[in-house]
Amino acid sequence: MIILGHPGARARGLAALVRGVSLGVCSVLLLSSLASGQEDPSIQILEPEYQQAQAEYEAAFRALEALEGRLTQALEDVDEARAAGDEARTDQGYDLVLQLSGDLRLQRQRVDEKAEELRDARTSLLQALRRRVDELLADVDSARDDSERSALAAILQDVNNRRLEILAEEDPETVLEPMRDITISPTDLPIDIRRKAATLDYRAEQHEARLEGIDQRLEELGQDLRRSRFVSDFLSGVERYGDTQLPVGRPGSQITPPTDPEQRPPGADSLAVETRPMTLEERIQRLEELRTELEERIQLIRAKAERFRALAGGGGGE
Amino acid sequence: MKELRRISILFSLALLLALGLVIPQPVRAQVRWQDLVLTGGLSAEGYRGNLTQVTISAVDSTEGASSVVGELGVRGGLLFFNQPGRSLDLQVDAGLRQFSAWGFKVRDYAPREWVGQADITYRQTLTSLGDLWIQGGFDGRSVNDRPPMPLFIQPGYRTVSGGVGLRLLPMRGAYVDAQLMGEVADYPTTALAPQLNLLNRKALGLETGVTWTGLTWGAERRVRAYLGFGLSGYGNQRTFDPDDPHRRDRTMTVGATWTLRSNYYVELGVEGTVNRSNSSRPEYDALSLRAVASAPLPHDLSLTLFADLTDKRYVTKTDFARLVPGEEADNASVVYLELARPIMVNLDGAVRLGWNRAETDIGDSYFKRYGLSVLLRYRPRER
Repeated sequence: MIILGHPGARARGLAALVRGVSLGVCSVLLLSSLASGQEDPSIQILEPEYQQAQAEYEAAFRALEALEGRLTQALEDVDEARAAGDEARTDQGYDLVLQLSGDLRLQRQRVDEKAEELRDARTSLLQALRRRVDELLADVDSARDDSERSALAAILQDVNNRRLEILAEEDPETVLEPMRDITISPTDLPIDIRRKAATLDYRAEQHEARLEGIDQRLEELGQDLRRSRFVSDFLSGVERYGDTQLPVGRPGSQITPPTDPEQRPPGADSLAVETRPMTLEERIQRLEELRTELEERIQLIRAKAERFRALAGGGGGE
Repeated sequence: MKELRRISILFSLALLLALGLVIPQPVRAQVRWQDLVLTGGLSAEGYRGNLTQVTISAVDSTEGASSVVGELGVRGGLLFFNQPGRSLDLQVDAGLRQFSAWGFKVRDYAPREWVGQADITYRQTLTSLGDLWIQGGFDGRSVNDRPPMPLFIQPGYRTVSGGVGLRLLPMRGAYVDAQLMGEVADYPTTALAPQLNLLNRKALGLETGVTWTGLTWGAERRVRAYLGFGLSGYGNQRTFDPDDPHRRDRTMTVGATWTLRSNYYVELGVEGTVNRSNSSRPEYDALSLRAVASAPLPHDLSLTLFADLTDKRYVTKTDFARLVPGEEADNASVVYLELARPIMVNLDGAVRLGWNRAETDIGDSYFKRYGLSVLLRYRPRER
């Protein structure tokens, strides 16, 4: 309003505006410069962080491998118990299988998280190393004498080597390769590779047989769940209109604790308390997850077997 | 018009629930259905009794009556979130039941019942202690053209309740719980039953229990023993004592329930009640037995039985009734038997037989109810 009101005032206003904008831009540049300086942690900090992330990732991955091994063993125990017709041992075996498959699923998530942390730590360290290389290059150029130049060049080479080492490291693995124990060695002949492909087929067939057992279990549990639903439908139907209401107590106000099966008892997800067996719904959910997992494994194993056969020059198994 | 609006609201609600449209889009991704069941049924019922001397205000009482009944119901649960540390869920149950009853002395009756119930529960895990539950609920029913005896229909009421509970971490496989609950109930009066508002009350209850669970592949067993104490105040009931003019009851309850959930479902319960009051008439001792059993039969059939038997004895005998019949009966028995089978993946059919018998506190007066129902239960979200 002042600017529009009077020419002299307009000029003063424009000058003030230019000064204000200039001051603002300078402040922003200064602050961003300071901020970037603060967000530039040194290699001395980032290197231990990277090593820590790497150690944590490797520990998580080793745990994943261990759980995978335990699950495979538990599945084989179930196979044995089923073949022997030992119902009690089969039930116990399935309990362990479901427990381990749940643990395995959680461990995969942990491995994913740790791999992500490792990638972040690696990126930060690489950026810091690259900056250090640039600094050293500049220092080498401005060295006062050959002795200093030589010393800086040695440091530069080592820093660059470290950068190249990290760049050469593979992306952290997050998925276990199926049947890691079956690999092709350089000395394998086509017949050996085809034999290994046949072993893979056999493992896939084992999983397929397990799927049949799981389907049978799911069928049984589904019937139990259906019966449970019949009961809840029946009770809600007869109680809806108060026909079952007895004269004792106050109408419509029975005090009952929440007993919804989906509402887990306390401690169900805490490591600090005793473990409890799974409810019917949880068992069905875990079995369905296990079924999906086994199907995926079968596909991967079959694909691996096909790959082996292709490398062996085609042809079926022995 | 009012009834038409209610029917349209019920159907619209069921439809919207089925389609999941009542949930806002951003929330829909997080919200999960626990179950959604739509029920439709048709029944034939017969009623017998000798209650004519009790229903003084209802001159149309008779020894025997019959009716056909149609019903619609919707039941469902919404799980807003269920994380290890906390969960929030809403359980809803609503229904409409229409009678067409005949056999009374003066006229036929067409009672219509509307019922609705909603309970919301929030659970918060207290790391070193257990789980905390906060519950709130609304329960309401209305009855139009309420008939005289022997067709006994619970009167209409509205209750609002709330409670807080704590379930401790398991100790040697046992879960200890305790809960405090309050409730306010309001019974609207009608021209024929002005005494209904005598039932208006405010109640406060405390219950503590222990639950043992045993779960294996074959079966899930649960035993719960509990002890409860309740205080109820009936502001519209007089005691004839000027120093303590309104009825106040103290109720002690002790009971246990055993549940087996497997190929068979069995639930057995026993409950003892001691009710004492500043008014001598409603003081009673009672024992209730409850049984629910379900067993598989050939051809995918399932047989379910419900039985609730109560023996209730008043401390002081009175020669006149002050409340509606059935509300404070001496004893009652309820038995239901249902044969159900899946018709399609998401459709079950059922045939139900029912028998009720309840005595009042007047002499040897009683009513009986027999019923045969055919029901269809549809789960729209199941494929």
